[in-house]
Amino acid sequence: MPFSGAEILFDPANLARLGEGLIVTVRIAAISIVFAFLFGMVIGVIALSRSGFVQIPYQLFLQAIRIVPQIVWLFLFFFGFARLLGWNWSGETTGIVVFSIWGAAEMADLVRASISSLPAHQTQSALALGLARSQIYLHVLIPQAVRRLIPASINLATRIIKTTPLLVLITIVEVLKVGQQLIEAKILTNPAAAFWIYGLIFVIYFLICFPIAVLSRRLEAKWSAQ
Amino acid sequence: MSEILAVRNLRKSFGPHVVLDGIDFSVDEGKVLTIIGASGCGKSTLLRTINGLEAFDGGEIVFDGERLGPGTDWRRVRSHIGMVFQSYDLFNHLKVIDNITLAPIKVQNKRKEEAEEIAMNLLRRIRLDDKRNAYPRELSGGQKQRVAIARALAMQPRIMLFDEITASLDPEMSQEVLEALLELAATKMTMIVVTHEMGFAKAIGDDLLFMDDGKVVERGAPRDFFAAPRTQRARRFLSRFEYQI
Repeated sequence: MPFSGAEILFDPANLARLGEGLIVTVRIAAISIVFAFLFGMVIGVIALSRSGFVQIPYQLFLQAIRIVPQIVWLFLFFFGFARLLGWNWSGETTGIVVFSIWGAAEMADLVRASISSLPAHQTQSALALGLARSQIYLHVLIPQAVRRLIPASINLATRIIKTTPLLVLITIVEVLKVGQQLIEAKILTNPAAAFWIYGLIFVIYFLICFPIAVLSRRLEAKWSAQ
Repeated sequence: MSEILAVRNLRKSFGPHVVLDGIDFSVDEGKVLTIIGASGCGKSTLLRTINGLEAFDGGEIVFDGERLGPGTDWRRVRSHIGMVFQSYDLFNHLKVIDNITLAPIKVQNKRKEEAEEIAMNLLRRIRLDDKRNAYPRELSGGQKQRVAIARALAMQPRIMLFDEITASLDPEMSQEVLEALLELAATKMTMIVVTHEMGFAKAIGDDLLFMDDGKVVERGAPRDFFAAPRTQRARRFLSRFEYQI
């Protein structure tokens, strides 16, 4: 029978457990994305300074985040710092901190690149009108940079969402881990359980990321019409 | 006539390259000064030193009785000096009306309604009041430059600086922008106009500077300059335009 084993998806208990896992995934991803975007904006604007006091720490920070895999950062914060500094963070806190730092670094570089790609005359003419530097960033540069940032920052948000399964390794039971647990429990009685559960998780990730992609395309179309 | 701007022995270098080599001139209130010269002669840099977009190395600039230089509150000075550039420099994310009201609201702390009223009067003057809610990308090059002029005028400046504002426009659009400048000159706005349009330089200015290699080579009434340039360098410069015609 081609669809045998599909009943695993119709067991309310299974769905409830997957839902709990999903909430963990979405919560960690959403909080991390918000922090990443906020801190990324601030760090990105600061990183426009050509001073060595800014550029050297900024480049070290950015490269350290990019070169070292996220999983190493998660282990370092969860196991390393816990021992060394006596921090006793939960897996979820660690996940949010690490993903926020990672996202902020990537976002900062997007913001920096986006603002510095704006024509110099935008700043010049704003200065000539008597606007202060802070007003120029707030009312002239950042609003224009944000419009250019949409595609890349949406891509970053979906990358953060897709990286959440790594959290399993620091004891967090997110949606993929719940799926594995369900499969392990049912595999003897339902050999096709892996297909159905992973298939459902596939659909769930798609349903989270697809609307974000649609939203980004809408915003792009709206702003490019201006 | 009272003097509003005086530049004395102004000097500026970029590294070993001397851009301004002892410039002297003054502008009286209500007058139009035209500056012409070959590309790279320092005329744009000269304009940019007047409102502090470019620092200078020596000499002095006196604007409305105040010596400008290091320590000047440039924001305050700039709010009295309007400037329009060669490149289209409207804020692309803002509608025409918001482009014009941004500085009056943020710099002069005007109420939105008051700033919009000033903006609408200016838009009517340049006959673009029907474009108040358009975004810059919906405007032609000539319309953008006219809005840029209105944006600078909204600050009610004492003097306006124009830096080759028709250089990237085709002849028809230059025409409409130049007409806007002539109308502005007729209102007795004090203006310094850097231009490549010789016919226009002849028509608009009360006074003309011909610059070459960082120096003022000739100064006089535009009519006299074009009829009988006194220096070899000016004759050579003007002959290039005749060849093109």
